Amino acid sequence: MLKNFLKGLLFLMAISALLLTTACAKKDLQTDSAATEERQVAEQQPAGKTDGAANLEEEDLYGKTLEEARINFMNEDIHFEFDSYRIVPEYVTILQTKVRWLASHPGIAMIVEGHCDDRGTEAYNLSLGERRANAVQQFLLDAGIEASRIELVSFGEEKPLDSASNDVAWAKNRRSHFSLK
Amino acid sequence: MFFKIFFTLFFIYASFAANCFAQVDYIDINSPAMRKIPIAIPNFQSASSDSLAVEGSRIISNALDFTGYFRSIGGGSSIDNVENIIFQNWWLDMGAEMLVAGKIDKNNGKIEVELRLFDILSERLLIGKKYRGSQDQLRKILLKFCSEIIYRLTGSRGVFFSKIAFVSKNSGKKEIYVCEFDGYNSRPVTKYNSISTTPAWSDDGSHLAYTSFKNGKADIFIKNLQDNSEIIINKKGTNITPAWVKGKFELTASLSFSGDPEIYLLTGKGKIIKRLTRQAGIDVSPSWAPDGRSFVFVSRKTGKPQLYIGNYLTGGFNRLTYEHNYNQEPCWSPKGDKIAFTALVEGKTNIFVINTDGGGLTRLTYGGGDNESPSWAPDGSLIVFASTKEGSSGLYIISLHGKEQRRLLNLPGEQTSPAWSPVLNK
Repeated sequence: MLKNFLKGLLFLMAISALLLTTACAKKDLQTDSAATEERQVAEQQPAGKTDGAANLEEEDLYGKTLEEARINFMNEDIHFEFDSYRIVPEYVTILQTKVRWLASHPGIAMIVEGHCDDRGTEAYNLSLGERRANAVQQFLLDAGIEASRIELVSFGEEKPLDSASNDVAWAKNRRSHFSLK
Repeated sequence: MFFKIFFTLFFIYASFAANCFAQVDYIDINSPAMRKIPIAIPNFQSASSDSLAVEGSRIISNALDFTGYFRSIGGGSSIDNVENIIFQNWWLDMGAEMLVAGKIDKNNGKIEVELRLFDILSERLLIGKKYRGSQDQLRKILLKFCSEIIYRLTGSRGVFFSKIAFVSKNSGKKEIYVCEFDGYNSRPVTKYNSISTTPAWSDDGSHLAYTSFKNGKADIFIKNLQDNSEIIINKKGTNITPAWVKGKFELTASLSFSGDPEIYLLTGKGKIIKRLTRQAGIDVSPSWAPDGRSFVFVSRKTGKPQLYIGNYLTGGFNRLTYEHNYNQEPCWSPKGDKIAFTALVEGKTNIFVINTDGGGLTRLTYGGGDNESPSWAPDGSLIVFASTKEGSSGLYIISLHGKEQRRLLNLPGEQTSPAWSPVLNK
């Protein structure tokens, strides 16, 4: 009885092994042909462009909007008043745009940088820059962005956008900048 | 027997009196009315190398001038016989009151240096020393003698065996550098190709702590200057403004891992011992009193940065500054009675000194650019600071009484954040 059972088991194993091998072989064959087809398409494409369809241009607007949103997210800085880390009301709209972008890109983590103008000491400005990054982080947290996605870095006065010593340069340099991780 | 005891006591009394006499004899460094002593330094005598003799007298002149206690008078014929000085009238004519006579000779690949300090007015020998060493030790030998001079005349060893750490910025990168007290022999300590700043000396001068962005954010690095090993304090948030405690291998720093920047006490290996401040707002830039118990720091608990003195044992603190509304970068003097700091006056940063009881507020720098980051010389007689008065930031020395300013060194790029070391290899 047991002998028969074992025999049957062996048979089944043999059959399934056979099936697996053929399946693999088939798959190999398919990928092969797919690759060839792809190559053919690729070879044909330049030829196709030279005739009739040459004047037709296509643009991926959806992708472009996304790309613009991403670039805006990175490029639009939040600016601050002298020796202050309060979020100025006019920058709330920009922060809200950033929040919307972050909400629609759940996998993305970012670095929030804090920067200062060069008045005051390096040490003090490192702390002030951190407070600025903190204030921005608090805005994001209040809007429901997960803390795990936000990293803070203060650069103090070390990385000015404009190295001049005047009101325009100082205003530019007092900022919080976003960069993607 | 009685005579023996009497004689011993008399001898003790006599030597004690002589010591006291030595300290107040010539220069009272605490007096704001202190006058520079004119000191003649003729070219040294040398049978074997004229250039060595000229260099020797030049190094002594520069070193003594640097202290601010002397006005050196060079020139004239060199001294022919240092063993038997003939006091020359022209020294007195030039107003010189002291004389340094020296003799340098090469002997079997070594140099032999004989140096003497005379009081010209009383024609008295005050110090006589003979040194022997290799030729590359010439500067060290001469500075040793300068140290003897200062000790004999002021009772303090001076600054000749101290160094200055600073930040030098070239093409956007900030590296930590170290030079000798007078700007000589500057060389980089870090080559991180990043932003490294605010160096601080451990109390024994063996370690430098500084903030660096080497790993992307502000962390504190503790570097052993003997073997170049490093310990990194890289807690979450910003780790800045390291300041060593006097008399111990411990430091304080501003760390923000709890959310708010607070000042912590750490071991020299970077382990937290305790938290020293508990306030909302920014607390940075601690500097320790020589007693190792009190420290001064910057807090903006009133809205604007002001100086406070904290007590390590009681945990209490008192506000120190009330004038000006942007007071920063405090540095406690090595004697313990004063604190140097910077204040914003009419849009420019300037250096001030205040007594630890809040009195005696004195402004040291005026006009022309920003004057920042004061740091005391180990004898408390000079302050090094960074200034933009000649355009890009450079390092300058000022005397305690604010009388004169000198540029410390000329390097390419900008130099900031000077920190004067304790006296090294005493």
